[in-house]
Amino acid sequence: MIRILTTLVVATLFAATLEPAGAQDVLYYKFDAGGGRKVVNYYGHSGIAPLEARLVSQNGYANSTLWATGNPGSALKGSETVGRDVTLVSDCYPQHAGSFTIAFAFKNRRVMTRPSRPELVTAGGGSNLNRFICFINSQANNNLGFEGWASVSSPATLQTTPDVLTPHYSRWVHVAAVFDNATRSVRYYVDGQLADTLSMGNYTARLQAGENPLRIGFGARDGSVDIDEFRLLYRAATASEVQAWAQPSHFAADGRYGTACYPRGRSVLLESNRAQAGLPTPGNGRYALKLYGPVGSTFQLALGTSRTRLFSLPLPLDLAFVHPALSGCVWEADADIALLPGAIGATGEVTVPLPIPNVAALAGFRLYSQALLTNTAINTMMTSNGFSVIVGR
Amino acid sequence: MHPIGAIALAALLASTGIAQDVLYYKFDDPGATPINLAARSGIAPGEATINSRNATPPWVPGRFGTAFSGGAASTTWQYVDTGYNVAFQGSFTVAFFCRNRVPLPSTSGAVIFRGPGSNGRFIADVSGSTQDLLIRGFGGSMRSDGTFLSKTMSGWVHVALVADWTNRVVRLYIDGVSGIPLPLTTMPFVDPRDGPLRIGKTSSSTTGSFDIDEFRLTLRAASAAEVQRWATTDTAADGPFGAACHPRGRVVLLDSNEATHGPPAIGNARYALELFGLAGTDYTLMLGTNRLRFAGLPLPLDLKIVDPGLAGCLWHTSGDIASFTGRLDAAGAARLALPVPNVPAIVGINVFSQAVLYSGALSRFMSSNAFVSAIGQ
Repeated sequence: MIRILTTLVVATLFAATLEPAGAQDVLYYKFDAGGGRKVVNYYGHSGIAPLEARLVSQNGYANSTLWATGNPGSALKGSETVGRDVTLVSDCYPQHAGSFTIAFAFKNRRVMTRPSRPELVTAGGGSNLNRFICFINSQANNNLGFEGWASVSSPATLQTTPDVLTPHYSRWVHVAAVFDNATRSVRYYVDGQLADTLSMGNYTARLQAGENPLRIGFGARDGSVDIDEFRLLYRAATASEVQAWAQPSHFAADGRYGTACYPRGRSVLLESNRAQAGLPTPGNGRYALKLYGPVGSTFQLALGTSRTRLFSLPLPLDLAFVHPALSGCVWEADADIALLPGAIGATGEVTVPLPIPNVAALAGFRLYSQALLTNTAINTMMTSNGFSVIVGR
Repeated sequence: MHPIGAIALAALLASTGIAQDVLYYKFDDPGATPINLAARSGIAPGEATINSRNATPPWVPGRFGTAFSGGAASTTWQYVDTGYNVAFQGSFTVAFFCRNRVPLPSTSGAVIFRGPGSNGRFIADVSGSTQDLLIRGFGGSMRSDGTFLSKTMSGWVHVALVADWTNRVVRLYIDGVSGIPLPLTTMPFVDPRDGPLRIGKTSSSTTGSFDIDEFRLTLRAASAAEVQRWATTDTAADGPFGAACHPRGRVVLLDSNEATHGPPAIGNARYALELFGLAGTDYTLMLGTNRLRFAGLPLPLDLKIVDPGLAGCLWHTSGDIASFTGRLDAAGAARLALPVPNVPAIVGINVFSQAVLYSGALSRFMSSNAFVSAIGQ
């Protein structure tokens, strides 16, 4: 009986590590921090792409000008002036041969005054064969175009039919392109509705970028295009998925960010129990944070509403001021909600229940957490990664 | 925190390996996939694969121990795929022993290493026409004199190319002796689109067949003394390979104290293995002379024979030297002292170790990564 129980426990633990749902989900940027220069990838748990992206601005943009009001929450801000723009650098080098989906919301806030081709998403470099581009073709009929999507160099450009700029000027519009090798077609959705279906001909889809990582917002030369709710999946999304994404409501999400700090041979990890209990949606009474670390460690788990300030101190903060041995370990969560003490038991983990009240008004609420651990057996201090929770539907 | 704790933490955080070392293959483990003894840096995979269209075994007696064989016939190929997508800029060093066993006609050449791509193509090859070695594709190039081919026909030759961007100079060492340095005018850069670096005979269209031993790539400029040592010494090294098996949020690591007490060189009495995991976990640590067979069973061995929960976890050591059992202490660690005797006769011996663990708190088995200690000088 003990053997059977052991086997079951092991099988359960293995299953928990696999997280089969969303295994092909690559990037999901909600841009909801509204400050700082880092953006959490809420699909980072799949392990395909880095947990965080960087915001890079040209020509002296300050942190405060990198963010716009989003749909909902905040969003990546487009350029205010030609030649001044903000780029999200994903540090993800797509290497995928097969169906994929790219979806995002955008808003153009300035009439394009000359023929231009703002590149909203790029990956790779060099020739079209090695460079994926998603652009607005304002030189022609303001449609959305794609280059570098196929397994061969031709056809280099795929252009959708509808004008996505003129009817949607200064308002948010959600677009999704589903490159589906099973049907050899690209299904193009505007605001959740199928707007165009294009044939791939004899070609198959692939995303490959060796030289440059996927970037968003690069080359907004003329228009001022804010971007929000960006998703990349290595699969063909369904029509109902796209329809749901197009709704301007808060989606529940959680994910790791930052880096844990611990000695060789040990491990510290802060995450949620989403694999067992699901996402932080209102009414999810089973939602919890889980902290893993060396047995016997005591911890302080900070819960706060920001990752850009700790009370009055700007974040991220080098913890060298706590102790010189923590030099290089970075703190990235506020503690204005709670500071929870505890200890890690014999199983090397502790669960901190975080039941989400069934209150619709909580949608969009952001919670940032991080733990500071002390272990007398190894005579050291450690920090966990940061963890971001966004309550939503 | 206690000052000792601060020192320990600093030492442990600093012990993540020599961050600039990328590849080091000793090829002293015939019959198995080549182990990268520089994998601690995390830049390149811990094991390479052999791609062969050749009837001859990929192993020959080496300069030290065994070496990788480039094969024989011109219609075959045989190379090591490092799995490392070469992508770097700045100073670097590439070094290896090579020996040619097939005469090169003046119309042909032989590749020693290269990436499969065509973008810049970081490559070292020998020309049958000019009989020299040319290393290029890093933003510059360096050529040996025309005696190189004949030297490699009569025995092992050590080659080291040191591109030193700090001092804007590139040097080619043959058997530890530098030729005339050339100025570096552009920062060395290898195009990542070149693809994974391959070592050996990569094509059936080239004739020569170079055996390779002690291949190193490091992203720094090696000193003249280092190159001299590499050219003359069977150096000690160690490193992890294979994968540990443990539940989410935990860690199991088998490593050595190399960062604080040096590699398993003869006379290093302070050398030790260190096993980390969940405090209170029971373990069995086995040491073996090879990673080909365990109790008559071929390796690697799926550990589902120990417990179904370990299905997919692989065992890599013969375990024929010794077996140690114990329990991880309150700090989640165990240390096994392995003082290396000062006996030159044991230079070249490889010790392969791995641990299987059982946690009563979790009611489950786990396994560590495997670890090789290559005894040298």
